[in-house]
Amino acid sequence: MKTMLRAATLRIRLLILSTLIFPALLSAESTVSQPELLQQSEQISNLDELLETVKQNRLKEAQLNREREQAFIKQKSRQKALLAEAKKAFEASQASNNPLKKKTEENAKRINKAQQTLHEKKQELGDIYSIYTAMAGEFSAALQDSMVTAQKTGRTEKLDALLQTERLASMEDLEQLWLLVQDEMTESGKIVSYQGPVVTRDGHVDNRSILRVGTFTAFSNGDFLRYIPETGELLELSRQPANRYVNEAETFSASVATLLPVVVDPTGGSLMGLMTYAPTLQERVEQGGIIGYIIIGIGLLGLLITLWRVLYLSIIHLAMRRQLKWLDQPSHKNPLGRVLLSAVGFKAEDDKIQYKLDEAVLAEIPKLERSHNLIKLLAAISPLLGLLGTVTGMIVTFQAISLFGSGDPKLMAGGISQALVTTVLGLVVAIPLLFGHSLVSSLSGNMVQRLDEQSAGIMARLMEAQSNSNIDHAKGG
Amino acid sequence: MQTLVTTLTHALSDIRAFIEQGGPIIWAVFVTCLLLWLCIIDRYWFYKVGFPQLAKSTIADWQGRRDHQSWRAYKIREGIISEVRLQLHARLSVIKTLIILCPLLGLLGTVTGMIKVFEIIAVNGTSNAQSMAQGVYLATIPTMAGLVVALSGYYFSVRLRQIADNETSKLADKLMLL
Repeated sequence: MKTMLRAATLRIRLLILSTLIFPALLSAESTVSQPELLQQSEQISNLDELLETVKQNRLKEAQLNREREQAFIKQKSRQKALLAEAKKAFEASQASNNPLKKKTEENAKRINKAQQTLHEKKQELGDIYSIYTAMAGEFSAALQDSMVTAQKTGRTEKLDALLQTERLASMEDLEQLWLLVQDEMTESGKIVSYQGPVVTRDGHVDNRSILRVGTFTAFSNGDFLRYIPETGELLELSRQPANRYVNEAETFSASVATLLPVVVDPTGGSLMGLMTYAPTLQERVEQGGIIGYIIIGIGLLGLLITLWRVLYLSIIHLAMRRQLKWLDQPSHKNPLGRVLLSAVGFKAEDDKIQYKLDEAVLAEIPKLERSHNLIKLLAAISPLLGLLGTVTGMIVTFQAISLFGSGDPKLMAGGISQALVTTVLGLVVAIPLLFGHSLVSSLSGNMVQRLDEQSAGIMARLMEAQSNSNIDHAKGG
Repeated sequence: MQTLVTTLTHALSDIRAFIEQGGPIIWAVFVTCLLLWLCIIDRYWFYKVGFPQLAKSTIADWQGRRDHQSWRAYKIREGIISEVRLQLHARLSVIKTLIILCPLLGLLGTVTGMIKVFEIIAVNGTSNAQSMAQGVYLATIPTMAGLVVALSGYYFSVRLRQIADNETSKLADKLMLL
């Protein structure tokens, strides 16, 4: 009983709440009904009254709905008339629209057809265009590497401009490319001389007369020039080829309209470029290192000694010849004279004269053979030093191999060149020293033999002549 | 005449190409070879033409002497023989030296050629055998030339020395001590 009552009160409370909230919600829509509802809510004091008002409200609402239905039904009959009217208007506009639609369809067909023909034509032109771009690209590389570009600057820019256009190539573009190719072809077969900038060895740009032979070689003042494609400049080769070729180039540049031989580089400068890597004599000698310099020092020393000996021996040789002519006037200034003087005062039959002569000859020999063994020693040492240099060079090479591996032959080349250069230097020093030693020893050997074997004979002849003249004198007297 | 000139120029250009292939050492070998053969020809000329006359006059001089037995005569004979020996042996040592020099020059050529090869390796790497062949030519041609010159001269150097010794002793035999 209690619970029922409770539930009833809860429901009522909810109803009150709903009636309170509902007007609040409605208030925004219908401000007119608000005071009415407020009045009613003021009048409500017990449950019966509430029930009464709810009932009344329901009746009112039903009334209202009925009124609205009536209005809708009224409107519905009117809409039917409106629909019929609209349908009529639609049919009328449709009738005028149909021919236009046909026209549009026809136009669409025509556009399609035109697009197809355009596409076909475009394909044909596209083939030409792709050939044109490929050709221009290829030719651009050739033009860049060509020596003629140094003379005719701006050609590459022209070609680049042709290459970079977005639109299809026009007839004019095609013709321009053709002209450029033709120009290059004719220029490659020409020998042209012109004034142009040359980068000299010390780096500044000089305006000089240049002679260009095709696309192969260019000369200026007898010097060979090298074309650098990256900058489009002509560079004086830092190392010129052999004099023979340079002279040929010079006479070739100077001559007009005559047939002359001249060296060209068919690779367009790369051979001439490689030539600059070849080391000069001085660089070669430097490759030999310390041992190389020692060998050169030994060689110079040996050469000086040889020169001194050759001079000394030839002077003595001449003096001895003179002495042979004037045997009766022995001089102290040459070995033969000294040997002859040592026997003065002895008679031919005296046994001591032979000893005296031998002694005098023995005293002369060291002077004549001085330093000959030194020359021989130096000649023998220099190839040995060369061998030493070879071994040290090989050590350097193997050190390089142990550090970097044998992958890069260029790293090994340094040690190997040291090894070989010292060997060369050793041989270069040994050969003239050996020759000099042979010359000097044959000169001195001849003189020693003369003194040793002939001085006694000369002495004997002299004595014989003197005794003969004595006999003649005696006979005459 | 025209053909002779053209063949000559062809031969000259061939020699020039050979020398260029062999490098400057070839010139040294060439000069050595020329010197060697000049000396050899000179010696043969002397032994065949100059020396018989010299020997005749020397023998005649000796025979013309009155005195053949004294100490003086003995010494004079020794002197004469020595002079003749000197003349016969002149330049033989030069020939010998030139023959020793030839293989040395060849060796020099070999080493310079090897330098060329390694230079090419330094620039191109080992991939280009064709360019290395140039250096190998430089190495082998002077060696070959030096050996050829030395071998061709070697026989003559020995033979000439033999002739000189023989002629000296023959002359000594003819200068009789009575």
